Amino acid sequence: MPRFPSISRSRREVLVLVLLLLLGALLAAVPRPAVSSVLHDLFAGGNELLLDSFGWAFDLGADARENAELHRELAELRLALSDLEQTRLQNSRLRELLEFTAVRRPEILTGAEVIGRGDGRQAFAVTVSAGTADSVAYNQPVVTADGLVGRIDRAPGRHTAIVSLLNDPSNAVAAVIERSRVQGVFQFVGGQGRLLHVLQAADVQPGDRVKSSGLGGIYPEGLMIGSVVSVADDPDGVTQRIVVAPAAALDRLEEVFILRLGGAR
Amino acid sequence: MNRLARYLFFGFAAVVLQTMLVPEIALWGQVPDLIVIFAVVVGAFEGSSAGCGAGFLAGLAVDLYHPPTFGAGVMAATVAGYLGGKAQILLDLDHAVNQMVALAATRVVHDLVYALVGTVQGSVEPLSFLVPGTIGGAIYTALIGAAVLALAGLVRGGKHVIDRR
Repeated sequence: MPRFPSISRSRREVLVLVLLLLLGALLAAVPRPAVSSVLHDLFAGGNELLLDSFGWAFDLGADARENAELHRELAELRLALSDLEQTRLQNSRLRELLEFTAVRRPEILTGAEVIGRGDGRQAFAVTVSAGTADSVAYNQPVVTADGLVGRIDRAPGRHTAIVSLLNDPSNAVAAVIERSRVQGVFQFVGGQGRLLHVLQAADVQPGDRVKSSGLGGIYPEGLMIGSVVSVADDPDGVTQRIVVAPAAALDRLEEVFILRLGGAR
Repeated sequence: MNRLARYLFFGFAAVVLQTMLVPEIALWGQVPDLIVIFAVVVGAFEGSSAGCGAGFLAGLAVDLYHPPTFGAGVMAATVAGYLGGKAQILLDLDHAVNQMVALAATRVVHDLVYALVGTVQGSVEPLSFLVPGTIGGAIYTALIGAAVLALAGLVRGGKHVIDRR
């Protein structure tokens, strides 16, 4: 029996390392052998088998990540939805304002705050914070975003003016039914807004919107006056008794716009 | 025999996890190298020769999965196993810091060997391989490896993680 010389542990380890490195170098040097491809396929097949068997464990992690991602997306979408809703509301308000300014922008003289009630006629007039310094003058129409409020009765100060409201029986507005273009005169009679001088044959229905016709010379065309509340034949047998609710809240005015006189389209 | 079976099982698990799981746990593009960890652990527990053998087989398995660098992984992992055994002698691997230093250094050497062989093969662009991934990967490997070593120490039930020879 031949006896191999004993070598130290350290040398043996180095020898093993060198041998294995040489083997590795041979593997690295050999062109991609067909057997490696087969082994690779087998290995990949084994991996697939493993995945099929235990894939659920990995799927759980993937599901958790997907779940978290979906939650995040949901939160983002909710935020976006909230933004969209805000934008929609803002758009609606801006559209309303744009419509208002598109129709009447050339006519707006100034805005003013309501600073007092009446000049002794109680509910029929208010005092506003604009006057001669703002070129406010007699008979200029006064509106809110909701509709017509009245007209300037007088401007006694540089920063004050008296607005005669629509419910003052002395005010009358040339008006038209928006839907049927039936014309009449809006005026307060007996504490009620009425559309006067409309023949019984005219097409007027409750809910119809009443606007200024611009024919009176004071108020420009298209200002919202109010809506028809009720329609009935007048006892005179000729005209209708049409009750109109003003669009502007005349008893709760806070801010108004004064329009330039003669600015009718 | 039981020990061999245990190492075979852990080697197989390391290869499977390295090829399937590791890409999923990349942090900022950095990935740990479970083959390095496996080779170092075997080398540290069983000596450099065993570490070389473990690294060789595990590297071969991974190379079979990824033929373009066939051989490079084998040689790099073999060196890693050898260094694991040497680190067990040179450093006090009872301490986590030393373990991490050994693992990180081994990962760097592993990558250098891998890049060298891959460059000779024409399958690896050394700079694009080493620059983005080696340092970060070494740190990641050190952290994972230290945890594995601590776990291995607990499983062995001894106070000392590594049996000093």
